[in-house]
Parts: sequence; structure tokens; C-alpha cells
Amino acid sequence: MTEIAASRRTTTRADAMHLSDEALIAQIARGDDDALGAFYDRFGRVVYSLALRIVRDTQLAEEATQEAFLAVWRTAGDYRASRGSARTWLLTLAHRRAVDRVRFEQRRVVGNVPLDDTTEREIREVIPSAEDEAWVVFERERLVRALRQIPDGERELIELAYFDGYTQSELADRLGLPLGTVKRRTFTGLGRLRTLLEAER
Amino acid sequence: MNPDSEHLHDEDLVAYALGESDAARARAIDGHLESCDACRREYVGLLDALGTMAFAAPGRVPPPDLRASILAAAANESPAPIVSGPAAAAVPGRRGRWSWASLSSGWGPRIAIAGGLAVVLIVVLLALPQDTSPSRSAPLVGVHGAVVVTDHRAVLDAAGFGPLPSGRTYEMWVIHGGAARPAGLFTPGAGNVPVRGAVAPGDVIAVTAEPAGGSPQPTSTPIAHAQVQ
Repeated sequence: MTEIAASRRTTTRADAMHLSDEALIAQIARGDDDALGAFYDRFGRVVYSLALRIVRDTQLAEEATQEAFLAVWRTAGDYRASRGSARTWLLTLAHRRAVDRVRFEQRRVVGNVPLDDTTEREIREVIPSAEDEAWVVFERERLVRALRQIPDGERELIELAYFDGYTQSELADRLGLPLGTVKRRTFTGLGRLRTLLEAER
Repeated sequence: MNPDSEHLHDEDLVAYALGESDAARARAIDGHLESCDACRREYVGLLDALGTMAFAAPGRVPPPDLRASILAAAANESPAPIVSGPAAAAVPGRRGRWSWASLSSGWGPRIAIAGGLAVVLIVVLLALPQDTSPSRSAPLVGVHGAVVVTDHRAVLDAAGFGPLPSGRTYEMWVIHGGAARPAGLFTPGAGNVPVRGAVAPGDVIAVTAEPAGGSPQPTSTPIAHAQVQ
């Protein structure tokens, strides 16, 4: 057993800290568990925070986080840089797992939660946390600045789809809008977000 | 939508990025993205913007044991694709971070590499001392290894089980008629471990990670299992 573990271990913890996200994924694809640990150290909080925001339950958030990183472990060999950064890949995996849980567990807040409730407050203010690393704070501030410039109707749709797992049809029903309008606004809002984020780089 | 010749609609890209596309549509979109640079650039841009939304979630710190839990689960996974067996549905368990239900859903789609398992089986059979009674061997699913049964006694080849976080042990279970009974503990690096008690054809032998000292009933998803032939 120790031989198996040793043969997989090709990166030391100190090495891994200096690797790019994509290089870590390449190491993980070779079965390097130290690289997986380093990837978790880099993104574990972000993934857990995202999962918790979506599922609103610490146990489910832990499960979704674990599944996301295990999915990275199992499928790192399938990662394609042409389909986006390693970080985006991880966050997409994590988002899917959390949203699947919300849809499966029917945990999202059902009913008429006002659109300007917690979601909007959370996003429009930067909630400082001494625990956050500097790069996370930077990303959050960049995002909040961008979101403030997006029309409310578009931003709300993005937030409800992303954080509450509503499908476009559910949003159309819930908001009493034609499905085509929901789809168009979501796409337009995401396009704006993308342009604003790129301009901030 | 003709996935090969026309560009994807914006709405298709959004639905795909949000994980809303059904399987058939997702395959078609994926195939198109593979061959169309323009749509792929558009998709990557959308996905990147969506991914950044994650940073709007209030920052929270995961429980400190989550890291070790993820690494232990990863270490115990066979790097090769494996097939699901009947053990997952056989035993009710309380919902833990590794739930019995998530085992079946997570492992279900995997494909067996029968050749690889057969090689392991042969190696195990050759390595074990020969007995006068005929031995039957069943490959483990989940971890490379096998269970060898002679008469009604089973031996687990446990060499493939990886390290565990401190305070945890491997525990074997014999699942018979939908109920699990404890069948002994072992530590990482163990060789051939006797399974406690008699086993019968059709029984499933499963292994979970449990708190040190073992549990009276499984509290987590089996890491590996095999059905007695």
C-alpha cells in the first residue's frame, strides 16, 4: 500500500503551492493526491461558500464540496483548457452539484421571497471577512463593482438562476414574464457581466 | 438546431452553462462546441462570467476535517472506472457525508474494466495458499482486490486500501437479507484479512471507513464491496 501511495506522489506540498491551477489539474490527473490537497487549499473555501449559499445547509454544502473535489479527482484527465480555466471548471462542477442538490431536495426557498431580499443585499455590499484571502476579496470586489452596473431586471435573473437553481421556465412562471424575455435578459445580463469583468482585469 | 452546421443559439449556451440542458441536447451542444471556435469562445466567456458569480457568496470556512475526508475518499477510489454492484442499495444507512445513496448514484454510470478486474482476480488466486476445498473468488468493486471464499469462510485481500485520517479504521460488513453485520476491522496496509463469521452465496461483503474502534452499523458509504459467488 505504501508503495502505491508513494508512486503516485510526485509533487510535494511546497511544490504544489507554486503551480498554476492548470498545472495542478495535470498533476491530479496523474493521481497526485498532494496536488488535490493543494487544489483544495486554494479553492476549498470558495467552493464551500458557494455550495452553502446555494443549498443553505452545512451538511449538504459539505457533501456538495466533497463531490466537486472528487469529481476533479476522477475526471482531471478530461479537463480541456479550451473550455475555460481550471478555476471556472471547478466552480462549474461545484455549482452543478450544489444546484442538483437544491433541485433534488427541494430546498430552495419556495414562494414569494421578494427579489430585493437577502440575495441582493449580499451581492451589493462587500461583506468583509477576516478569514478571506486577499485574492478572494479582490475577486469579490471586482464582481460587486460589475454587478452594480447591470440593470436590476437582468441581475436578478442571473442571481436567481445561479444561486437558487431556478430554470429559465421556472423563472418565467415565478416572475410572470414570457420565457423568451427571461432567456434574453439572462443572456444579455451575462454578456454585460462578462464585458464588465474583462474591463476590470 | 443542427449542431454541426449552424451556430448555437445564445439561449442554448446559457441553458448549457447553467446545467439545464437535457442529456441529448447537452451532447449535441458539446459536440458542436468541440468543432466550432466561435461558439466555444462565446461559451467559455459566459461560463467564466457565471463562475465569477461564486465570489458573491458570503465567505464561509468549511469544517476543518473536510479536507482529510476528501483526500481519504480520493485515496480509496480506484483510479480506473469501476462498476456499481448490489451492495449500495442493500443497506440502509443514515445520511452522512458519504451516503449509501450517493454511492449508487455516483458510481452507477461507471463502466467496468472486466479485464483489469480479471487480472487482479488471477493474481489474488495465485497468491493465496491453496486449500483442499475449492475456493471461489469475487473481485472487489471500488478498490482493487478480491474476496476469496472457501467453504463458508471469506478472506479479504486488503492490500489495495489506502491510508485513512487518524481516528478512523476500516470495517468489514457482511450484508445478508438487507441487513449488515460487523465482520471485523483492519488497518491500511493489511494483507489478507479474515472476514468474521460465516458467509453464504449471494451475501455482499462491504468495507466502510468508521471511527476508531468500529461501529455496530455502517455510518458511511462502502468504499468497496464484493458479492460472494
